[in-house]
Formats: sequence, C-alpha cells, structure tokens
Amino acid sequence: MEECRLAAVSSTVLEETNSRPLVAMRFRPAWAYIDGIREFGRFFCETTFGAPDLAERACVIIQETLENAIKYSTKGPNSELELLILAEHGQIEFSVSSLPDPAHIQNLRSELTGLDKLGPEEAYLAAFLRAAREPENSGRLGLARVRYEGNVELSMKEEDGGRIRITALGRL
Amino acid sequence: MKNFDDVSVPAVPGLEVVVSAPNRVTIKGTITVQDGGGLSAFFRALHGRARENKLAEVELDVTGLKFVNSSAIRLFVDWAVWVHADGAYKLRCRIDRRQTWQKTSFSALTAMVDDAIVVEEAS
Repeated sequence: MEECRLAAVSSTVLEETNSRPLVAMRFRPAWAYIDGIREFGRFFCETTFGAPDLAERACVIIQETLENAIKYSTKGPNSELELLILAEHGQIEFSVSSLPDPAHIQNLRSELTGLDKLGPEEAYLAAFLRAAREPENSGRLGLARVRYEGNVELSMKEEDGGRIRITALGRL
Repeated sequence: MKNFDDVSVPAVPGLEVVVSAPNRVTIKGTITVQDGGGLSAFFRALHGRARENKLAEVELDVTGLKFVNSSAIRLFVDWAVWVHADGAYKLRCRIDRRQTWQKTSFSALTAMVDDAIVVEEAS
C-alpha cells in the first residue's frame, strides 16, 4: 500500500514536470543516511554533468533539505522520505518529500515566504543576524543557505496524506 | 592559568582539530553531525581560554574544512558574536575562497561583526 502511494507521488511529479527522473530514492528518515546520500549526489552530478560546481551545489542542497526533512519527520510506517533529482532544458531540480509534524508545515511556509522577500545573499545575511539575535533558538540557516549557495529557488507543495515536497530548482 | 592548547578537543566523526599554543586552531575534514556534536562547548572553552590568557587574537584556520552543515555554520556565528560582545580579542580566520561555504559564510560573518573578525585568504 505504502509503495503504491509513494509511486503515485512520483508519478504526479513526473507528469507535472514532464521530466525523466535521473535519481529517485526512498529511505527511512535517519540521520545516518545523509552523508552517504549527499556523497552519492556529488558523485552523480560530477559523473553525469561533468560539473564540479554543480556537484558542490548538490551537496549543500541535499544535506540541508534532508536534514530539515529528518528533523521534522513524524515517526511511523508512512514516514519514508523520497529524493528525486531531475534535469531537463538546462535546469536541475532536487525535491524531497516527507511526512512532517503538521506544526512544522506552517513554520516552513513562513520561512519560505520570508526568504522570497529578499535576494539570496541578503536573505542569508538576515538569517545570520537572526541566529545572532536568538542564541537560544536553532539557527534556521539551512534554507537560506540552500538558496544562496545552491543557487536555486525553493518552493513547497502540500501533497496527499499530509506529506510535503520541498523543491529546489536552478540552472544546470 | 591554563594554556590555550589544554582545551579538550571533542571527537567528531570526519573531523580533525588541532589546537596549538599560543593561539592557533586548525580544523580539517567535514562537520555534518546533528547540532554540532559537542563543538559548541569546545568553541566556548577556546573563547574562555583566550580571554583568560588575554590573547590579542585567536587564529582559526578552516582552509581544510571541506564541507559543513548549517548547524556547524551556526557555531561560527556564535563564536563571532561572543567575540563581538566583549571585544577581548579578534578572531583571525584563514579561509580558502575556492570552498563556496567558506566564501559565503565568512563574508556574511564579516558583514555582521566586522570589528570582531579578520578574514585572510589562503594563497
């Protein structure tokens, strides 16, 4: 059942983007997997596109989006993460689907709205200033970093069953 | 008074840290542990030791630190804020601008607390 549902999620993304996935991975939300998946992403981008700069961007995007997804994932049989990497028409897209705590969805929406109001570098500096002002709170630098260092635009889509998909889209 | 290089170095997978007298810290490898993996207390201890020893500067060499997560970047933000808050010493950071995270993050730190840190580029 779960397999069918996740397959449906992937199909929706593929229909919408009319793209072929270059990478599709599903795995349980465990911190221990992040290093391996990030380094696979580096290897994949270096090997497929021959672009070390893109490989570095991919590492930042994969690390931070997976960390966010894992930190806020619910526990249970439906909580598997899905990572897709698509490339077409000179653009590359990384997306991570997860089943977060519902309270996190609103926080994430606010965070992304805030980021969109500023340019990438300006938003990154603003995130530093916020972290400096709020030493007792978590840093929340990750998404601003993805946007700036990853050179991508971020978006969030709510999917069936309480899942969300964070997408990072940028030039190849 | 304890020496600067007596501070205990935490064991973090993938990370090599060397503290050497009188004021130098060299960090190599990667930091991708959750919430900094004990490095916050380590940086805090270095900060305290620098103040006790009335150092004019602490030299932080991150040229060999190839990849970090944003929790690790937060640690550098905190350290810069501590230095900025009491002005007891300057944090002289040696970076490699070819490493994107070093270029972007230390530029932001400089913009945030330019009186507290000095950024030098490795040749």
